[in-house]
Amino acid sequence: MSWKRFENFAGIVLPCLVGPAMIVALYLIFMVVPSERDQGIVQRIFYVHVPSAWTAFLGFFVVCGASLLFLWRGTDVWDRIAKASAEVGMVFCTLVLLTGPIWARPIWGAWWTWDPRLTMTIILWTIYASYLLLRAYGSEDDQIARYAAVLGIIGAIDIPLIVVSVRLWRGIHPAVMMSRDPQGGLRDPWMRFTLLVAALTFLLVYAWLLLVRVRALRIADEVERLHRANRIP
Amino acid sequence: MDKFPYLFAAYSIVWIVIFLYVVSLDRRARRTERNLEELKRSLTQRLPG
Repeated sequence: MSWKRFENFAGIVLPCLVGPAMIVALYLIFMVVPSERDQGIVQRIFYVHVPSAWTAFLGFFVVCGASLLFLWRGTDVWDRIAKASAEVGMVFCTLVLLTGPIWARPIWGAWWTWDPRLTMTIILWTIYASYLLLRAYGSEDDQIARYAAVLGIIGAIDIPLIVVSVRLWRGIHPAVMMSRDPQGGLRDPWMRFTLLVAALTFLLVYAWLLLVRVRALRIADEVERLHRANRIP
Repeated sequence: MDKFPYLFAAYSIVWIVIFLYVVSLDRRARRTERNLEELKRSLTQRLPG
């Protein structure tokens, strides 16, 4: 299957999956899942916050992988995937940084604290913001694309540090998924199921947005090639 | 707890609006792509070689 055919196929399938998945996820979050005993309804933001974080990490890992392939093969398609994934990853990383303080204010009594995980996450956001600035304001030549690829690869190193930071530096951020406490973590099966559905929904949204952005970047590249080939200023 | 249906409705509306916006973006990108293919064809006919 050619890339264009795959794009067309996925462009039909993904919206058909994303729409119902969104509604099911919201229904589970607001109508089905029980409130957490200690935190109450505020904890429900967890079903948006955690999948956003996972999706942002996936997005930045895709930037890393596509950048490696671009440096190795030099094919434009990998560069476009890296750039598109950085943009979509930034959307989800921004969601993480916005939903976190909404939860933190009633639970910690502060919008923000320089906890290791929070600090590492804002560093991640800054690295990929720099990546996007480089892509937006650097020239269109291959040298800039290669610099950006190196930045995209280095940025992903921060992700494993974010994951282990709660244990490594004993921060105050809850480690729900990595909890060793037998009374901690997600004990209610509806909580686990809702988190799974929300994560799958966010994954589908990511894939769809990535597809739309890759197509837009490919069209822009083709217009640029047409300009050059026909010497249109 | 009795306000949850309103929250569900409000979030659903926001998601649906975002969903429709992305669908419209995708459609416009497809239309631009078709126009681009037509432009390519007409340019190759006008400027052979």
